[in-house]
Amino acid sequence: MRSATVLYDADCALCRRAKAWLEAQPQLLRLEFVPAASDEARRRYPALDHAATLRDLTVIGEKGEVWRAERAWVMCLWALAEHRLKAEHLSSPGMRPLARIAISTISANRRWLSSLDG
Amino acid sequence: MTWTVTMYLLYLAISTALTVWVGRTLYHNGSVFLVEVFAQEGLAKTVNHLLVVGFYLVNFGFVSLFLRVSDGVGNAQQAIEALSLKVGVVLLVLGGMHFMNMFVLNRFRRRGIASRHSTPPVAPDAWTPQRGPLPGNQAPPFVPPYAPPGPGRVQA
Repeated sequence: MRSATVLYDADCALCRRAKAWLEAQPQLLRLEFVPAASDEARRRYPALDHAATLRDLTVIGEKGEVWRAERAWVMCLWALAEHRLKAEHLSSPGMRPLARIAISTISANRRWLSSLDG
Repeated sequence: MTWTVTMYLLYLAISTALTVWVGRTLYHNGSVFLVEVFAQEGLAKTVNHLLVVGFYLVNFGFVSLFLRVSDGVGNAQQAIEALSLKVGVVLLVLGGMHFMNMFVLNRFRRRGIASRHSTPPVAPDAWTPQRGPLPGNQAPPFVPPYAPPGPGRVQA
């Protein structure tokens, strides 16, 4: 696997910050960012549930693999040269529930968190 | 020559010998790790050298600061006791430094191995059919940063 497409919520300031951060990191996989539920996303993935991509971060692999929510976050970290070990640690059975709770809490409150950011 | 001076000289000789021995061990055995991580012998050699220089600086600095015996040494028994205490502490510090060095080298190594993993750590939730980018909209070829070449890693 050499690249992945990240469908992110372009209307959320926190998500745009996260995207800028991901883009600035040295990548082992090329991450391509497409706004979730945009025309381009619908054109590329006609069968995908685009409403779901607005709720949770979605990563799509080269062969059409779909990772959602905390799995998508793990995949984003896994793509980064500096954070791959962290991603592998987070995906271990002991850490998965913690990662799930943390990501779903941040994701559900992201509009509010973005408003704090100004 | 007083007992104190004799003890100081012995302390310096033993500590220096121990530090050089540990430093050389780290240098020779660390190079195997670093060559695997950096996949370039030149770079691995440089990093190894810099790590060992840091190790020598910290150790000799500590040995030098730890030299003085405040009460002085009056006889052979006191000299041996003081020497034993000093050398013991130097050995513990060397041991601590050695494990720290191992920890750093192992982190480098694990990072290097992980960068060559080709299977994602989490299984996908689903599969979806996809269409490629529009003609003329293709991204430029991707060259990964400093990841070493190796089995399981496709070169861009």
